[in-house]
Amino acid sequence: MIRAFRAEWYKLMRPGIIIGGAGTMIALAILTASLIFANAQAPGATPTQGGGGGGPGGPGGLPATAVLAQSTGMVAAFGFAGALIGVVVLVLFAQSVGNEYRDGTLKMLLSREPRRLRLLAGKLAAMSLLVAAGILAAFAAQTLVAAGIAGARGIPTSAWWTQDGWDHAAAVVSRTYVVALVDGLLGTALAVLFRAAAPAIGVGIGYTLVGENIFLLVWREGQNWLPGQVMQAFSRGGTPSLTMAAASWLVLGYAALFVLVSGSVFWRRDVAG
Amino acid sequence: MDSAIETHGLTKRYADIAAVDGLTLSLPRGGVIGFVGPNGAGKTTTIRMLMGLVRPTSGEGFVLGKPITHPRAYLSKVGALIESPAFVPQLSGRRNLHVLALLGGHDVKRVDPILEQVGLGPRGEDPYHSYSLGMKQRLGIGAALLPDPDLFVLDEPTNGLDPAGIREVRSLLRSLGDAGKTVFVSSHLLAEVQRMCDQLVILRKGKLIFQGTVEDLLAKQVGLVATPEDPAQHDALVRLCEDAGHHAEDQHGSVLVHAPASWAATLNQKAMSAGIVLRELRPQAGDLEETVLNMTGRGTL
Repeated sequence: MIRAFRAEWYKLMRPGIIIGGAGTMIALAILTASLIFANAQAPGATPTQGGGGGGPGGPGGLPATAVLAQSTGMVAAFGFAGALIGVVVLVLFAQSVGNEYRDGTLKMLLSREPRRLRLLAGKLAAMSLLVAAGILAAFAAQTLVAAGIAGARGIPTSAWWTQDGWDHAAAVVSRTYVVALVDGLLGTALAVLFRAAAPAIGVGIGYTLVGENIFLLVWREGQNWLPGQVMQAFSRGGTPSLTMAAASWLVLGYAALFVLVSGSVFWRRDVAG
Repeated sequence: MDSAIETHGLTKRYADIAAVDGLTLSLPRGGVIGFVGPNGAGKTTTIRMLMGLVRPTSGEGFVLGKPITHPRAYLSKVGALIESPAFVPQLSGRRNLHVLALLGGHDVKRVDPILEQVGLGPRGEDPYHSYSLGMKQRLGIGAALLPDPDLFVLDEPTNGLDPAGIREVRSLLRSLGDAGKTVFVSSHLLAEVQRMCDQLVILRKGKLIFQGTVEDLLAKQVGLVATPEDPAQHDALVRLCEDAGHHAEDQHGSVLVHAPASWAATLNQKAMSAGIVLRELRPQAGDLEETVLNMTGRGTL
């Protein structure tokens, strides 16, 4: 698996992937931080309920400046960016796996590493490391931007740099990473099933952004079971209807399901194209 | 088991169609072995099964003595180019080979000499998508050379190459065969196959129709070609040969007589006696293309 990891990592280290993957995550995190910190409700205004962290918020569900000044403020915007980062990772994984089928490179790879599960595991490990680097870079970039805008707007940030602030940031970044990986595994499973990137991305994004909401219209209880809802609850650290522990088990279950589908189909199916 | 490749009743079915049908082969180690047959004969499917990419429906196969159900046991000693070369379009030729070297656990220092060997040294840093078809083919051959294999399995390696490139590849494969490596190469260029191969395997509709040396195959087709001045006497000429105990058949309006060249004078005499004037009477030299086309049908090879 180490050889498969090294080969995939070497392949990933090119501008198109770094800019298209990690660069997009950074851009999304910066954009979200800029919008939230620039548009946060001015100090002294009446807070309304809402916002990504579930605390007092401002107009349109954005966190209020009072919320942003708390120890959780450092990653208040990052929580919003997490869902978008998940979509980027889904696309990244689906493209990486689907293009091996499209370009016919899979047969070349399997001629050098016929142990298919090791090949897939090495590939996913390298992609996961890239995603980890991208998310850390996105977090660092959004923190700089958030701190800059907060300073310009007079939002105090001293609570951010406390132990509590760092602990909260670590938890949010970790949960964002886990959710992104599960999105990536969904992209992988779809790409293996379709043997192509485009339909995998179309179905993956279509389900995440549209399909699941349609299900919810007819099945309200789905908010505690459907993968997108479960991952949203997990990234928030739990919701009133789905505890963090339950969400964690469900996220683990979905990850296992996607791995099982990808692995069994990838291992079993003929490589004929 | 000292064969490079051995199969027993190897079969691959897709629904009701048998792409490969009960293939039984035993190919010796060392030398260049040609693998020919018309499109759809099952060559690529056979190669895919040998490389562990496609699971046989039934039968068994062995590569370098190891069962094809465990490709890990032999693929490190096999260099392959399957169907058409396929690499990451955005990566350079050098980086593509580097990826495969890392994946296969091969020495990455081999990459540059191999690029030179296949004539891609100066273009090694260019992205793969900028390569011509011939350059892509060369890179594919380079990838097959990476593991310094005992067995090469090459599917149409000269596809897209210009005449000079074809000659280079032929010379490379011949030198590998002479050096004791086994080269199993499929090709539609039968003149090239005739020039470089020691042995031949011919498939038709998924079935083996010949395995042996090129000389053995050509010997089957040696005979006399006789052409009557009057085309209406064609059938009479065929009957005359058959009555004399030599099988005869039509060959593009002429008559191919399966008889030794020494029978030419007798044939001429018998034809004269029967009132058949021959416009042409010559010994037929063994021609692989003609022979294979006769064996596999006149479809596209």
